Amino acid sequence: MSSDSCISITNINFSRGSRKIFDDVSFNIPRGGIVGIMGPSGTGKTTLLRLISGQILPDSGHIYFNHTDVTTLSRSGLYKIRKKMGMMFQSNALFTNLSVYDNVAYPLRENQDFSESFIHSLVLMKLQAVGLRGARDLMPSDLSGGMARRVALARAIAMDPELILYDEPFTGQDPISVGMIVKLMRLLNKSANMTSVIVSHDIEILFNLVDYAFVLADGKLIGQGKPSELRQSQNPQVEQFLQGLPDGPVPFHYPAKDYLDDLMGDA
Amino acid sequence: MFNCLNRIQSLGASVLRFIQRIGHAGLVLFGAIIHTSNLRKSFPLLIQQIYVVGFLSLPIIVVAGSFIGMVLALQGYNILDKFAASDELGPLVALSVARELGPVVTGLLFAGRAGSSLTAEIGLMKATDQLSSMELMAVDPLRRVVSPRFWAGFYSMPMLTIIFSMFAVFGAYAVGVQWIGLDQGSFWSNMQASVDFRIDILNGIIKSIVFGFFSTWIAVYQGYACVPTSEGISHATTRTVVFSSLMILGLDFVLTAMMMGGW
Repeated sequence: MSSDSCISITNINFSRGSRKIFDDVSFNIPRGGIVGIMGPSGTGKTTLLRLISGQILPDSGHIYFNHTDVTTLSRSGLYKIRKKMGMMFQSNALFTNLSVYDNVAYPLRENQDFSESFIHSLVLMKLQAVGLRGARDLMPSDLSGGMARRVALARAIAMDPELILYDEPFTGQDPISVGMIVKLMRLLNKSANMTSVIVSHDIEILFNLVDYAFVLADGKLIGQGKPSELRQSQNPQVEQFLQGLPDGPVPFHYPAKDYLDDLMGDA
Repeated sequence: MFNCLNRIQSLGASVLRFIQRIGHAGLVLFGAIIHTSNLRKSFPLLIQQIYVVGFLSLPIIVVAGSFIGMVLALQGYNILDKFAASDELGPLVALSVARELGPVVTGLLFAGRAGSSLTAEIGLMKATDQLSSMELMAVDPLRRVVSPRFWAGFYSMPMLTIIFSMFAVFGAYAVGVQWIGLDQGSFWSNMQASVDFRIDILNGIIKSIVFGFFSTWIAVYQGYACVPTSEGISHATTRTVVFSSLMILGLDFVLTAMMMGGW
């Protein structure tokens, strides 16, 4: 693991049943940068975030966060390093029985012994950063999709993490919401010097945002580099993914027996 | 031959899966029990859950208790009257309710009302990534979600059983004394003379504690371990009610046999 890496993934293998999700995958995520993880649906992008955060364990291989092997940590060790991580879920995962204010205050109340007045100040600062200080008393059910995403972001940064993981942050958002989220991601990364890892399908948005990107397919890392380098990639799988071609090395059809045999099978 | 081997193999796999689930349920229970150390943070959660699990179950417990007491009084009077023993209606109702009907019916109602609600709530939290997000915020869901709900169910069941039994006796009083016209003095005094605190009331409360422990354990585990889809939550909720009900009825027999045997 290089000294300026925030995360180092070394020879990980991971399977679900008989399906291989990661086959000997290795790469490093540099500290302080914005990094994109891309790939077709079902390639294990979200699984990779869960592996990094230690929610699931690989079958073999190691994942280092700040030089600590996440795969060998005890439950209490995992909770200790997770205080340095934040994650924004695709579903936002806001607590539906708590207000916007209480959702953002939640990790602070649970993990810190701060006074309520100090927590109040911190929560208002986080909500001000995402532009929702005025919505503090609303319940999650009262929020639009874009607002809920910004509340999830405010909660993810409540503990001032070193690493923030974004799972499909642009999915289902209108262009204005996407613009707001992109602006916030840049701002937070710059001002708090966080390492940001973004999983997304939205190539254009991601390429305008990230410093570096990794492309996963078929359980392998098929490409990596700066957005400009990836655009020049000669790898057919990377080309197919970036150009959005419906058929190619990543087949349109799920593996099946011969079509004609299948149709005539019952005859 | 191969068919037979396949069946044996699938039977073996089912047994292993069952043992694995029992082990996982044990670990969840262990986690819920040991993660109650921080009283300052866990006490308000416990009170909140006692309100949800216990207090909000009161209407169904009160109504069911009253009606069961009334029906028991009517049926009991019809039979006792044939033997000129209608004065024994008070003891009949009190013993039936304190020993059996109180803990068992409260347990069944509790599993249907509060147990299913616990499973659905925890399952939905899992399906919407709320449990995962807690873990990512370094908050253990066993401590924050499962433990207060488990203890709330455990504490609520005996209290609900006592309330159920009280209302059943009042229901029987309303029918036997106020409606049929039995003597009020003999109704209460015969009851007082026949019901033993240690043998009847305490044993009933012990049963309710055991039922509360197992039915709440089943409910929180089914929610925690459910498949996080709408179908998975639906199956988990059904399993909670079925398993809890069968567990209560089975344990009732075992406990009654032990108590009758003078354990």
